[in-house]
Amino acid sequence: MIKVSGLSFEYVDKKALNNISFTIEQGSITALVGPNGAGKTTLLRCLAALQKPLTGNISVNDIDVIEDPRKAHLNIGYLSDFFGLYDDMNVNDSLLYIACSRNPDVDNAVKAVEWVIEKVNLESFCDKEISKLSRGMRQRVGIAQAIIHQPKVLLLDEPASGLDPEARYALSSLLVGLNKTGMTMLVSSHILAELEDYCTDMLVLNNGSIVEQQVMQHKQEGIVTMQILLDEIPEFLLAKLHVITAIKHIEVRDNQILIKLNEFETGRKKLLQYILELGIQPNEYGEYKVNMQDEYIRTINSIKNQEV
Amino acid sequence: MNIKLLKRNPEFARNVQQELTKQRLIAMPVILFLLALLVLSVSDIGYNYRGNKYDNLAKYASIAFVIIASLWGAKSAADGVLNEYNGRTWDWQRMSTLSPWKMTIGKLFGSTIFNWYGGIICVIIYLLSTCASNAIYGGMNSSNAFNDTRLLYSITDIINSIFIAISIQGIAILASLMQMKKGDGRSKIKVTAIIIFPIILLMITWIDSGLMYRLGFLQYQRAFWYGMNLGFFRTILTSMFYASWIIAGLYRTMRTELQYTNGLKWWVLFLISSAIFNAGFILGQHNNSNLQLGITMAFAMQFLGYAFITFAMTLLEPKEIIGFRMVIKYFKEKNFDKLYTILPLWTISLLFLILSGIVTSVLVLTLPDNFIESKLGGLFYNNFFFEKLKAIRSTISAAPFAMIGFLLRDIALIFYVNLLKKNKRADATAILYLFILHLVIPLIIRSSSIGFIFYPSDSQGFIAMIGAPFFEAFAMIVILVRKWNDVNSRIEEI
Repeated sequence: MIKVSGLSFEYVDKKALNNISFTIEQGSITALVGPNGAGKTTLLRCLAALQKPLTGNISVNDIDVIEDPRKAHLNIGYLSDFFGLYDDMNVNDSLLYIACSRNPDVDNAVKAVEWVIEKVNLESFCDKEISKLSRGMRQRVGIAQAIIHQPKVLLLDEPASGLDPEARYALSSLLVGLNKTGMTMLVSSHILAELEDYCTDMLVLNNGSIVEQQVMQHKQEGIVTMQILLDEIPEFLLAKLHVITAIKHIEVRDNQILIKLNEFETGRKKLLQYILELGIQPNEYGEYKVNMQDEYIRTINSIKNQEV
Repeated sequence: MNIKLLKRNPEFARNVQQELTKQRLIAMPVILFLLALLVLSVSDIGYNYRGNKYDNLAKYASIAFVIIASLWGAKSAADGVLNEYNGRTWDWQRMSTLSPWKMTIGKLFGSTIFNWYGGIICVIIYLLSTCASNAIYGGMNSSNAFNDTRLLYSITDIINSIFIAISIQGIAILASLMQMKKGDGRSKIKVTAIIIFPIILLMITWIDSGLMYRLGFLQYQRAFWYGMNLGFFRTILTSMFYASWIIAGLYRTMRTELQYTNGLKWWVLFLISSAIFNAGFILGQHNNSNLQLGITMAFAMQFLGYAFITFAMTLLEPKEIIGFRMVIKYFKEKNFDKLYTILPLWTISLLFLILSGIVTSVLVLTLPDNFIESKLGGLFYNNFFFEKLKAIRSTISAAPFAMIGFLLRDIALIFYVNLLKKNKRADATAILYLFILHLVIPLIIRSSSIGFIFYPSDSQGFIAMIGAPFFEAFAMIVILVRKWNDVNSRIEEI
């Protein structure tokens, strides 16, 4: 759905994005994480065709964003970290204006407002002035504005910042709900624990470069990641595991083996039985739940170690 | 929200809804009505005016129009876009499907709708008081001929004021858009800095509309245009011409903001048409004027105009490094189609400046010796000016080159300051440096012989007159290139 290649962007004394390339699959929710100043906002703005990069190509839903930004805008919804709302208007009027500026047919715009109000649960706030809404509700209005034209891709820059736990939970539910309608999302956030609940992929950006892209939750049914903890990993075990067709990928980290397993072909119990039959007694065996916080810290630390 | 308006122009409809609240709709006429009563009552008390109290009211109504529609209107227009930027709603608008025309009209007339509401009330008061003055007192003057033309004069005055107000509001939006392009997207932009441009424009229009004549610099107002006596309509023609170009400029800038690609043809057309338009006021001022002298003066005036435009555009246009990198990239790739869409406007203005400078110089040198007799159709009072002109003809012919040299130096200086690490107020800092270079130092050294280093002067001969500015420009460009390389190497290291 989103394809980026060789993307670079520069400010006077800083390379904000340094020749980055990645692909985001349709229907995924990708967490865009990285330290402050890593280039997350610049990347999102380039993807939203709001800033032109120095070099590189971006395509969203097979539309060249750099060559045809107007067409790309029809497929993209973007919410900045400040939401950007017309404070002195009421919710309904503000959404009607945004809908009309996205869709010249006023009748369709009215329908779009009705649809989006229901989608983001703003029914009881339609006549309220935006300035009088709580931060959580303001954010809902912001999301409503971003999706009013039913884009294929939704880009959210720090949507959860400043929200209380209840509002964050509501946001997660809302994003999962939107994702179910087929919307692909790229969400930048500092609150990794909350991203973990709904993100399927993680993109780590550091110093303007993509340092890791990882699948957090397998969308493919039956695929699980199994973890085996051992005191020492014997060479022959890896060789034996590699020949099992149900095992799609093996990753070794110190004394830990991570196995991407297709459970439809071989169940997890059967795999354990096979390992035991090989005379190996694991210290721990079970499904590996990817912890975004841990993965992020691990990635950032490994970069720091490389730099040292 | 008004659905009919929404269908026509959502941006205009939104502005109308936000600007025209019930409270404001009532307050404006009430306040203006009370002020009108105050003027009438005060005029009754101190009846020492050469006209009458209705003339007095008309005068204050016109002043109120300038304040409400032009000055306050400029602020509203600037606020109209700056509030979008500061409130982070500008991104919505840039991602909308609104056409650049709808956005231009919506912003220009929507954000100022309340000012126009007040302005129209002022116009009504102005017209009513003028008619009342004519009907009751027979006008300011007892001459019937004068009174016959007075209403026409008033109407042309109103039309002229409307075009000037549109121009000033348009300039305020243009300046705001330029400022927004230079912004970092995070810090807010204050409207006070923007308002200075419309105020300058207002002052220029005042000067142009008769101040020079009243102060005695000109023998008569420039009513002739290519030999045609336009009378009152001269000011309308001028204000309409520039208002049209300001709206066109606004449309072009909106196109850029809404992610359309723009070529340079509109800008080139503006530079050429303004030259042709302005030349009309110099050529054919008088039946016996010398054509070559007229053309020379027209080119000289346009040269100065282009110098102002080049300088103003250098300051106003964004100077972000990515823009220059793209220019260099497309130039190296010989991708002239792309280059055409991103080339800064000041570069084209500079090209026109150089061309007009060369032509002016050649024309001055080839003027016939008897050119002084024509005196440009008697436009200027004093023979002294032309005697002096004849005596310093060679100096004048060299002056455009010296000015181009100084301007190149100034442009390089502006870019240098923009490339500095701490460049938050780069253009303001550059203006300060230029103020010192162009005003403070020349005043300090006014009696010495080194003036040619700071302004066009033949005190040390023509080579020094032209050589000094070009040497300074060369030195400044070398410093700029070094800075550019330094910035580039720092970026590569990151």
